[in-house]
Amino acid sequence: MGLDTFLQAVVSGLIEGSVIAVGAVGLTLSYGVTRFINFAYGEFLTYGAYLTVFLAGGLFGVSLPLPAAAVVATVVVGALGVAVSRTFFEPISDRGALPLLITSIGVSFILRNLLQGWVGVDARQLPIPLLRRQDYFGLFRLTHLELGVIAASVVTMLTIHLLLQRTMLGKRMRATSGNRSLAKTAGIDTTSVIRQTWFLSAAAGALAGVLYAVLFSPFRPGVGFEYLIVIFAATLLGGIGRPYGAMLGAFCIGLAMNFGSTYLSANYTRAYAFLILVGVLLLKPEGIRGGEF
Amino acid sequence: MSETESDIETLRRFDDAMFSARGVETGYGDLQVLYGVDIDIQDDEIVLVFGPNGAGKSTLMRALFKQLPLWNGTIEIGGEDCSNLESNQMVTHGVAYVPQTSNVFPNLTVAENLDIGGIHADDVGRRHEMFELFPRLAERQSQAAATLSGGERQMLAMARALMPDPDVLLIDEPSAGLAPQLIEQTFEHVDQIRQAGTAVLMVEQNVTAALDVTDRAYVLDMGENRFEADADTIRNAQRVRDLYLGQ
Ligand SMILES: Nc1ncnc2c1ncn2[C@@H]1O[C@H](COP(=O)(O)OP(=O)(O)OP(=O)(O)O)[C@@H](O)[C@H]1O
Ligand SMILES: [Mg+2]
Repeated sequence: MGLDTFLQAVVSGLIEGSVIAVGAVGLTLSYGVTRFINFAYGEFLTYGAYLTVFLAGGLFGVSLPLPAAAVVATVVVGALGVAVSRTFFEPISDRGALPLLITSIGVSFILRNLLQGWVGVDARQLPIPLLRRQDYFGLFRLTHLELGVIAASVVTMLTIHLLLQRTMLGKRMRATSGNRSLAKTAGIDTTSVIRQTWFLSAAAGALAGVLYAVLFSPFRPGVGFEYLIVIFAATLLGGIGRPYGAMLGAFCIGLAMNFGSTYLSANYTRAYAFLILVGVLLLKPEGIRGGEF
Repeated sequence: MSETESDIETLRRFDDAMFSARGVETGYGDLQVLYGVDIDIQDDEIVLVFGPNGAGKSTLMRALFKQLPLWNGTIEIGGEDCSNLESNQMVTHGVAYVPQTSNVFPNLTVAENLDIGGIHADDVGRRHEMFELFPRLAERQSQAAATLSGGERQMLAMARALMPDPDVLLIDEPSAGLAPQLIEQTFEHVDQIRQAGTAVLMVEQNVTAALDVTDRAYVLDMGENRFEADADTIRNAQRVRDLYLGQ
């Protein structure tokens, strides 16, 4: 176990961190404006991955190229996020965080079972070729797809950064996150801002699901729900409600998981994320209290 | 003196007022706080509302801005019935509101707070006017609002609300928690705001200082109008002094 192994663990950590980052940012965005942890978020990952499989695999009569299928799936799941919020969350939005959180657990069961009832529990995978890892500078090895995952993640982070800092929608979102009642006072239609945030959150979740499926096929309908713990760990580590914290937390979790599997045991990958999650709750409980972005 | 005493008990109503609320009743859950309050604000007027703690002054401001639902009563702005508006529609009807607390976006910079204030306005020229009124803000544009001093935060809260150049500004205890020199300055700002063409309805506990810039005042007690008169009359009314000014 030399430098080579170490570098490869770093690279694998960054690759998985890229997926987690997209997922964690999406979760944290919706938390930032609604102040409850959406347990149905994992289903957005699942739906993103399955829709992409179907769109790319001709189930709906067309076979889109993989990137196009991913984009369409992302947009459709974004709309699903808005529908879920309008149906389940908006009607009880003034009852506080706990009823919303419990409702979201129910929503996650509904969405998962709907999908299972429709497609069954068989494992699926994206129509992607098995690629050889290429050598880069003699230091580490990556497939083109892994490179693509990193690129997609970086582009997503940059887009969200520019959206939040440079666009009026981003500023409205941050204002709503920082002080919702004052946002209304300033003339912002906060209901509409919150719906747009749900779109972005669910779409980011779907994209994370697609990226996950690219790396770790095959998968089953429980895929997103099971990955939620990893995303939670990243989100809480960065301080929930803080997008930049979520990005940072994601890469820490990705690295921790891959160092854990490389140097300790590969059987407990997610347990390392869970350990960090518990550690955050013990040592830095303000992580869960959350902030605004 | 006795003439004045009876005067202040009769509530004058101004039929041509720019902003007028009639019989406002509201509260929280089962708790009724306001029992039919009337308020008029005329063009270019500074109107003061004061009264004991818990009288319902902040509740009145929230109700006038439609942050609380009206259980009863009406709100008219420029002759238009606005009783059923949402609070986020008040800005486009020429009304702005600075709450008593949490009145800036802590996570946004000074400049971004003004961006938000300006979403319904022609931004550029207005921002310059705000920086003329509050030069301190111009120096702190890229600072997060959470890190401002109390006085600076109050200035930012006012500037944010004034960005759309409202016809009337509702402001709840602008001098609360400020050092004595800043209290004077705050009322000077209120006066300048009025001179620039925005009427002001202000809740204040620093009544004596506030009356110096005020045209008219309402005394609110137990959720009802108690007295109403011009600033001079209120200042000199023995009963107001005995009951509410502790002198
Ligand atoms: N959010 C709320 N929920 C329930 N009751 C409230 C709420 N806000 C105020 N009250 C109650 O309404 C009454 C009037 O409160 P309000 O804040 O309007 O008084 P105020 O005149 O502004 O007092 P102060 O001078 O202390 O600011 C009080 O009895 C208060 O306890
Ligand atoms: Mg008050």
